[in-house]
Amino acid sequence: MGVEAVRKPVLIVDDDEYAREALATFLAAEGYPVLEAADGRVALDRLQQSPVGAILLDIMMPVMNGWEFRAAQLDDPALAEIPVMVITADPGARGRAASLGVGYMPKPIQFDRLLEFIGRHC
Amino acid sequence: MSASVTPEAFRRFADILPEGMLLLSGDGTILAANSRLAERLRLTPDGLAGTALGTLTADGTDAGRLLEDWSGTTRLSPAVITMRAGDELVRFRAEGALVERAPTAAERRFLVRLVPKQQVSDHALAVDEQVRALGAELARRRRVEHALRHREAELREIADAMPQMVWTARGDGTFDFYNRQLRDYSGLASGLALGERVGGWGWEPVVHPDDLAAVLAAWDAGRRTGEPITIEARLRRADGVYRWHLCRAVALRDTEGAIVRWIGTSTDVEDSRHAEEERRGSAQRWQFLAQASIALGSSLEIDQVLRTIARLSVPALADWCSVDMIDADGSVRRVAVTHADPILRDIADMAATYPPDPDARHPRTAVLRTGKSVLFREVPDEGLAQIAADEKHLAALRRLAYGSAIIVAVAARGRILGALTFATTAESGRRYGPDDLAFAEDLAHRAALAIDNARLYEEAQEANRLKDEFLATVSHELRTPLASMMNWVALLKQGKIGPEQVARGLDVLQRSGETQARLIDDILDVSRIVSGSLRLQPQPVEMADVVRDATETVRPAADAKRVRIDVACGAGARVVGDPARLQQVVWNLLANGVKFTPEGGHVAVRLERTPEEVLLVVTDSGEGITPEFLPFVFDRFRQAERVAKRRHAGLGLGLAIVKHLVEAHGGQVEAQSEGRGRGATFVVRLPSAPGSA
Repeated sequence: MGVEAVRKPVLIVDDDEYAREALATFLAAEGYPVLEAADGRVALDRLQQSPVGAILLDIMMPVMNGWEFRAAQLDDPALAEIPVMVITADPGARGRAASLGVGYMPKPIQFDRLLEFIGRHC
Repeated sequence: MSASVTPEAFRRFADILPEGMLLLSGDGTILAANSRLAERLRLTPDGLAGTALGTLTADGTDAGRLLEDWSGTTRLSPAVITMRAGDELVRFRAEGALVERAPTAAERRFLVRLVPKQQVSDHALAVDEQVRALGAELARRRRVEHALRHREAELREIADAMPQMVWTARGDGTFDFYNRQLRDYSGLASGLALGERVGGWGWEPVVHPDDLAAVLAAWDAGRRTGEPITIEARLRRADGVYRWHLCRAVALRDTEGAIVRWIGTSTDVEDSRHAEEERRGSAQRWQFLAQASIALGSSLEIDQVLRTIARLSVPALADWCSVDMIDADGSVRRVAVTHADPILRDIADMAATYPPDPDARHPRTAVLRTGKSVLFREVPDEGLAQIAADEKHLAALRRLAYGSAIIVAVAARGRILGALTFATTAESGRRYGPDDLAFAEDLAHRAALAIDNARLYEEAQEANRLKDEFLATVSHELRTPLASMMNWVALLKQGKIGPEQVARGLDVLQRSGETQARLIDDILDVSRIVSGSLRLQPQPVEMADVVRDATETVRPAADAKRVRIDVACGAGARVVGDPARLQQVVWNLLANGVKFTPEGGHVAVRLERTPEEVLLVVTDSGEGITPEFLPFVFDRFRQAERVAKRRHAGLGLGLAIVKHLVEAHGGQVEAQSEGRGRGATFVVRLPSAPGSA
């Protein structure tokens, strides 16, 4: 890797602090700028402030859950195109993720798949 | 005259007649003659008896031909015959009629009237005869009148002695006699116009207006055809009450078939009609009860069931019915109103829009409080005035025109759930008695069982739902630390992070592991509580030590949130208990307080003691508890927020465990909160250790 391209930031949306921290630590070590949000509402605020390359989205969150966030995101033309990967422990979420046009990754996270996804968009 | 006409019977009536009479057999033998005739023929009646008619005639009268003529008609057909009276001849106008038919001539009977033809040559005799005849006629009439009067008096006596009402009318229908029962009953002793017909028969006011047309039609038909009349009608008693009567009338006819008299009776059938109605009512009720039972069993939708009951109970049990239920918050709610009359249903509904009854003036309020049924055979107007909230309400209640009313409580397992009100209208005339009350109570009992079942079912459903939710919570709660741990383990394995981050990762692993262990401990505790296998190891415990240890355990989490913990615990508050479990109680309450208190807030714990008990009071400045949730804070699996929206981790088992442990120590725990944002206080009361006072 001779030339270091400028990488776009990744937004991690998860209410669990430790899980967020692990992801952030990992992505930072890989050289990606990271933004964090504890729920969907905070995530929308973050997106208004700075553009991101991809979103890693937890589903079960207070205030605004993952599905509600995705709906709000699709309603905003400026945000609708940002690729999203849903990361959840609920295997039942796969179908719904597909119908909402987002990627799906069951917990625990497979870091190589995650890097492949982030690498494509950021 | 269908019965055999004996010579004796003939003599009895013929002897009072002014004319000559004969009883003749079909073969022409005189069976009997009256005194008048015997006298005229200068013979004795006995002398005449047994003689052939032919031997007495002087003109060759063919008795056989005469009898043949008379046989053909019931009318007296005249002939002229000459008979010997001593040595003179007397001409008679003879009129005979066959009065008894028989196959043989000897058995046939003819009645013959013989009137002397006046002899012009014997004018004086004729005049004398006329005068004597007139005198005899007058005497006869006096006798007849006397006899009739006597007979009439006798008849009236008999009629007055009869239990039913008796009347008679002349052939044209004009009433001429009412017996005492009829006079007493109708109260119209002289008002019932006898022998008068001015614009009616005179008795019309006694007949119920609704029945009058039918009665008049039957009376007209009867008078036209002479057929017996039978009709049931309500007749008005002197006090204005109508009672059902079976009215009958038969016509008496003369020999020519003309109606000469009507005799009528009216028998009171009100009671037997009631018995019949009751039997019908009883059948209707059993049918109703069967339908109600089906309705009660068919749905678990309580309101729907009660509406069905109300609908079915009219008219089987009531003219209108209302159902009031006590809601969870203690307020009374009208669930259903049914009225036989749709307009009055709206009024009943309107009258029910005045339910608040703070002064307990309505008897229903008392029933809802005490569970004791009430029966009002009559609902007096004062009663309505007493329960009415205002004039408008009173007017509505009056429109409803109560007759009788029954209010029964719907109660199951000692809890009063509501009340059923059944009422009749004054118009329908139905009056409730003890049987109706028993029936209504039976119905209320069945309704209560159904409601209780439905509630149990709802509670079971709710418990089931809570369990489902709990399972979702458990999997989420167990997975969350697991996800963190897996993330960090994967990260650590990659080996791309620095030593500080490795240390951080190990720290997270440890904490997440502890969190998970605690969750699993809680689940195991609840499982032990549910199975009854939780065992305490009691010993004397100084509560201040327990509080101190628990506070130390919680402090790192509190510090991380900058939540202050204030402890005010003097020594000497001793109880007998399991120190590890008591510490679990205090820890859970403190952890709960810290969890729900925002950054910068505080949690206070203090001990108080009385000779009897030790009080542990944990107060926080946190989110508080809404009044709706307050009764449920100690319920297993119950959390104020639903899983997907929760801001706070945990299984919702902590307080349930606290409550159980406290109760296992013979104590009590209660939660207080002024509401959302007002903080919460938990008070644990434990019995003091013996001798610690």
